[in-house]
This record gives sequence, structure tokens and C-alpha cells, in this order.
Amino acid sequence: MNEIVFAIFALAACGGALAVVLSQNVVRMAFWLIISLSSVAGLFFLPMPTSSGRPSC
Amino acid sequence: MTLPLAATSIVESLAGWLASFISSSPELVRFVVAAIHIGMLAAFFGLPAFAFIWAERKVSARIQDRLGPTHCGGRFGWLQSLADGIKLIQKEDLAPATADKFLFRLSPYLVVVASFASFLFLPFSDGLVAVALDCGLFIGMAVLSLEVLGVVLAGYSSGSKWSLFGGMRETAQMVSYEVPLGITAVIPVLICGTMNLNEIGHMQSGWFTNWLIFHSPFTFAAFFVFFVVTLASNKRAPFDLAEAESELVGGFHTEYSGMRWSFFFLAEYASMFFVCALAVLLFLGGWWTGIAPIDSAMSSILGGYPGRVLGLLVLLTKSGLLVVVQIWIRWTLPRLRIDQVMETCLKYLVPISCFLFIGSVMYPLFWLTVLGRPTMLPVSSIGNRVPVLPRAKVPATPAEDHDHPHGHGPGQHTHEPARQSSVVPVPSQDSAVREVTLRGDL
Repeated sequence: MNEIVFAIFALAACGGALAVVLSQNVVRMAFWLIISLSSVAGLFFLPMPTSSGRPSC
Repeated sequence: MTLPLAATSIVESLAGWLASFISSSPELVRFVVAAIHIGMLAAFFGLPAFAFIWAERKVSARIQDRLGPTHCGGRFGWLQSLADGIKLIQKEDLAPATADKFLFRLSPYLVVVASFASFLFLPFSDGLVAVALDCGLFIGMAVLSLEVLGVVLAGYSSGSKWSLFGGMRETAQMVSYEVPLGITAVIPVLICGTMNLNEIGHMQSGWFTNWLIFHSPFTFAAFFVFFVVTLASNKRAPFDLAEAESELVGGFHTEYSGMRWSFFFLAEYASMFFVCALAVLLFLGGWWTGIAPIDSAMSSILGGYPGRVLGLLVLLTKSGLLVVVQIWIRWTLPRLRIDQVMETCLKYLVPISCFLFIGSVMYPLFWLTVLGRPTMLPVSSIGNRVPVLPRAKVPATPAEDHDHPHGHGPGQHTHEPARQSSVVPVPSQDSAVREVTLRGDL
């Protein structure tokens, strides 16, 4: 389950980053940048085990 | 996938409560309870918006000496929002030929998602929060401010001058009003020493004098500044320049129709509710009724989950009342000009909020110098904060009293024989002097 959510966010982040590079329109590029950045932000909410063994959030 | 700890504890508490009535498999009960909470979160996003749209129509009608909706749903037109929704679903989904179709279709969802995501960080009652973070206030406000993005994209992608101007005004307004919003929201954070909204709520338990709005004159003023700024950041009148009908047709949503238009509306009312709930949590005692016996009865007699539901109702009532005040303001005050909007923010609200911030920092220090000892407890005693009582006479420990032998004025004695109290001497020329109860360990 955790891996699936991670995959969704990771794909969105990478796809958004690619679309930033490939889009012609500046405003669309900004939009894809937001998608990419917020997907990276989403990764932080995944309860990954930390070194102390507790979920990170 | 492991849930965040707070959400797990909430689900477990209701599941344990339900399991005492229903004898079926604990996994099923837990699943049902989790589904209930997800539904509740979605309901808190949608249902208040429906109620407030109806309230807006009704209140505006009464203010303008009309009746408003009367027929739909039998009496008072209480189903009017649903009828509106059905009408809007049936409308044709138009996009202008000059529009950037992709962004045009997408931006209403951006607005709704930003507004909904901020609800994840809002504790509706003690611990009743989807994602409990130590930076809950910060991230909630950050996510809510993403709403402007959808508005700007909607304005840009419509391919219309009116929409573009509406979007640009919204950007200018939102970005500048974020400054006083942030500064006034930092004041409760500063007093409580935490950005966790749940802990900020806990620190305001007991009598309503514990509410942060009554913490000092500066927080009292800060609440009103915060409220005015949230009006502006939600593009509510008198700051609704982004959709000024007289100049911009419909502002950023001129080209939208049907459900996409209503998404903007839904998000606006949902974020109205969010900022009002935030104001309640930061300044107005959160989910506490403000009457200490009722609160303690609520948590001790009912205990556990039912007590939390009551707290939820209290929070909903308080923020609902604040939303009604927002509606009241909208239909009372005329809209400002765009230059006046910016002037109000940059020339007045930013300096005022800076002054209030410095004032609330200096206030305890001022009393520290006057009384010769601190008037605030360390953060470790959350939920046990010593109330700052206006004109209350102070029981102090004898040890501390030796340090301040300034003499006792007549009539300043407390009547607390059990604690061997004495009086903190205070310069008596100031009638507004506030004395502060202290615990012995300070």
C-alpha cells in the first residue's frame, strides 16, 4: 500500500518535471511545476519508518 | 499503510466505543469507523458550504428587506442550495474559444483541492484531526493559500480581459494580505509556544478568560485584525475586488458556467468556514464552551468519543456564527476600490499587525519588570495554563513574596486562606493593572 502511494507521488513528480521542460507555454509550465512540487510535498506525508522506528508524521 | 498516530487513536477510540454495542469482528468495526471519519471530513467540507450558501441568500435578503428563498424544502427555503446544485449540474459546460482549454477545465479543481486539503489539518475537536502535525497551523495556512493559484490560472486561461484582471487583482490582494495574516496568526503561536492546533486548543480550556483573545489587549485587537484579513484573503466583501461585478463583469469566473463555476463557490464557502474555524481555534477557545464546569462535565461524564462530538458541535457553532458575521459584513459594507484595498493592507493592516505582534511580545516582559517575576508558564504545562485574570487578586507563595516588599495596599488582599495567599504589590496608580496568578514552582 505504502509503495503504491509512493509510486503515484513519484510518478507525478517526475512527470510534472518532464512536462515543465517540455511545455511551450510559460503558464502551463508553471502549472506543471506546481504539480511536481506538490507531489514532492506529498512524499513527506508518507509514513516512512525513521531511524527511531516511529512513523515520521 | 500505517495511519498517522492521532488518526489511529481517534479511529480506535470510536471503534472501542462501538464494539461495546455491536458484537462483530473488530476489523469490520474498525473499517466502518474509518469510513465514517472519511465521510465526516468530506461532509465538513461540503455541508457547511451548502448551509452557508443558503444563509447568505437568507441573510442578504433580510438585510435588503426581502424574504429570500421561501418555498424550496417546505419552510425557509432550506433546500435552496440543493436546488441550486441541481440547476447548475444541468447547465452546459462552456469553454470560450480563446481559452486555454486544459488549464480552464482544471483550475476549478485546483481551487477545491487546495480548500479541501486545508481541512485535513484542522482539529474539529480534541484530537479529531485527520493529519495531526506539529506544524498544523503553518501547513494549513500554506495549503489554503494555494487557492489563489487556481484563481489566477482561471483568470489567465479564460482568454478574457475581465477574467485576467480579476485574477491579477486576486494575486495582488492575496499575496499582500498573507503578510498581516501570518503575523497575526503568529501571535497565538508565540503565546502557546506551539504550532500544533490541537495543543493551542488545549491551552484555552477552562473559563473563557483563558481564551487567547482575552490573553492581553494586544491579542484582543489581533483577533479583529485576523478576522478582517481573512475576509480579504477569502475575497469576501468589502474586499471582493477579484469578482467586482460593476467593473469586471464577474471577475475571474466570468467565463465559467455550471458546475465549474459552482466549484469556485463551494471552495469559497468552504474556506470561509476554514478560516473561521482557524480564528476560533487560535483566539476563541476552540472546541471549549468557555464555561469551565460545562467543559469538565463534557469531558468527564460523557468522556471519550461522545464528549469529542460535543466539542465538535461547539466548534461548528462558533465558526458558523463567525461565518454569519462575514455574511453580515458583506451585505453591510460597500466594496472598496482596488487602490484602497492595497492601501488598507500595506499602509494600515501590516503596521498594525506588526505593532500587535511586538505588543504581545512585550506585554509579559512589561509585567515581568513591574511585578519582578514572570507571568507566563513554560510550555510544558499545556492545558494547565495559569489564567490571566483581569483585576484578580493574586495568591502568591510566601517565598516569592519576600522578594517584593513594596507594601500592601488596602483592599488588595485575596481571600484564599487555604493557600496562605498574600498579595503581589502593584503600583496602584494604574487602574487597568492586571495581576497574575502564579504557581508556586515559578
